[in-house]
Amino acid sequence: MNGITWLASYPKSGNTWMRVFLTNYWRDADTPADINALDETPIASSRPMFDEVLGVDSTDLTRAEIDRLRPAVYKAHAFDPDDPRVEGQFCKIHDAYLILPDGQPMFPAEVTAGAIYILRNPFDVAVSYANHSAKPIPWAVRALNDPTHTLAESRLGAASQLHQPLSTWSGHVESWMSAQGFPIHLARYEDMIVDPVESFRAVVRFIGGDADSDAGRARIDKAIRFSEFGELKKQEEEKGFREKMIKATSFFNQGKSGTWRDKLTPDQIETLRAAHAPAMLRYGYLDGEGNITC
Amino acid sequence: MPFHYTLYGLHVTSEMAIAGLRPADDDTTTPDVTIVYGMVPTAIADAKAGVTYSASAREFLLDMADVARYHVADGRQITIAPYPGVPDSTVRLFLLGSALGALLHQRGMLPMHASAIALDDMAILFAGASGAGKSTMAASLHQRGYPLIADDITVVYAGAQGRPIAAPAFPQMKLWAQSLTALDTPAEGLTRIRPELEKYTLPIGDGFQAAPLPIKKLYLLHAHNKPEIEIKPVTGMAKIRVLRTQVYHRRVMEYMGADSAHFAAITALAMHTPVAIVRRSSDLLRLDELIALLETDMRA
Repeated sequence: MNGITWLASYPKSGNTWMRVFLTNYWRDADTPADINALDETPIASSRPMFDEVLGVDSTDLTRAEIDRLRPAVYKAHAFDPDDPRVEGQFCKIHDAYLILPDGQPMFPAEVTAGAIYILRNPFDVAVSYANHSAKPIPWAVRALNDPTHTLAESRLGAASQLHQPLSTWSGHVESWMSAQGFPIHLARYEDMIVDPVESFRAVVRFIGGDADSDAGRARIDKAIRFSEFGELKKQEEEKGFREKMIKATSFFNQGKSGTWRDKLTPDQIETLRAAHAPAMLRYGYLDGEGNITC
Repeated sequence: MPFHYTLYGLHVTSEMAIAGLRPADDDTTTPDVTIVYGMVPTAIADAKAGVTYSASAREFLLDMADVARYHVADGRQITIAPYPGVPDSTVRLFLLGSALGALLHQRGMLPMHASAIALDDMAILFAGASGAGKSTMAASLHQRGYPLIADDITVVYAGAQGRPIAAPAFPQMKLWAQSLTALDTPAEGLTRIRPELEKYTLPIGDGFQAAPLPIKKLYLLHAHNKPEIEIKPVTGMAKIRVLRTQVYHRRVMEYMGADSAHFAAITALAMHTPVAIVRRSSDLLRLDELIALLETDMRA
């Protein structure tokens, strides 16, 4: 595929699992990929990448200037002949699919090959996001419901990443799923847990790989095995994971669905359900009667 | 009546006052660089284009939307066409950033993305990406009595016997509010680099190192997600590779074809300068501990 394939998700929704799977799939090696060497799937909001392409230091720019310049940076980046990546350009991304004041999307369709959107139910996201950020669960519930919630928000200093507006949990998924001009593949975390083989075969088909021959299936099975939760957890315990937040105990916590049932209060569950009911219904986390199905 | 300044050993004349620069030691010599307001071309010939700029071997054109357009030619002249209503301080910011960086590349002077302080008549450089902590390290050491040589861009050249030398910039730093807080320096009375940003211009009164100094050591600053502070030497072939990544606006340099002009200076650094990677958490909670470790290490 020509152009960038975005690996898009709200934080703590299985993006890293997807990246580890893809890295193992591409390597097709006899041993699992190193979780600290996911170089084929860098994050789109990297400040050094932005500065390098721009030729101006982003720490001297206003937020509005950075936002306005990002589309041009991705256009230049997508056609960078010096990009060393061999599997095409895949970028992890947590930003919502933003439309700028001039009506142009921040992530231009003309340099986009496609997007894999990884979706996880908002209850488990809230629990995991609180863990990840070393903040209490009520903070995470507010974040998922806050249209102005932004990653790397620091206004008093320069974070290693550019600021990333996320919108609400619903706003995030709706922004990406309604993006125009490129194909989008939806991968639900819950499906990846229940039926990893079919979920990841669909991903491989989407990126143009062989998911149907015996050899293709064997390669996918191996990549799934090498990215199982136990393997990721083991590697983190042995060597650490450089994408963990400093205050968090660990990055890979449960690797399961439904842990929210023991962690969220009825009030928190209702707050999230009420705020996100339409999207939860659309993506199968509520049934027609409004019952929670995840 | 033009203004005369000295920076990186160059005699610069400017038709506008540039706050923060050091007056020229001798304003009777022929200027090396002239800065004027004037007409800026809309395009330059045989250029490779980046997002905000285009560059050829002899020219550089930067268009900072709603701020100014800058034309840098032959390493000798910078022409600025500001957009209406822009504060001088904002025009100056990109003049002393991308435009100055391009001018140095055009002159074959190696600009490292580094801040530098003086220790016993030797220069210690702190390199790293924007936001890595270069200015905070330099400001913290300056507070402890080490003269400042440069903030953000340090020019390096090969001196006698191919030894690397650091050329002084100007007595001013740029610091974010959180760094000022960590340094117990109140932001009151300081000017923001831009009205919209919590980043300030900090003038350095006393303690500016105005003469070039041989380089003793270069630290490359990185953040990691552990509380521990690590200082690890870089040796062998990795050293040249690491040093190249710290050249200021490297892609602009490549578009200009200026790489080969920097060969002597990069080689001087690689051959004579110990390089170490410093990894620490990106918060500034343990700044004093980090500075104490660095002080011990840089004296070793």
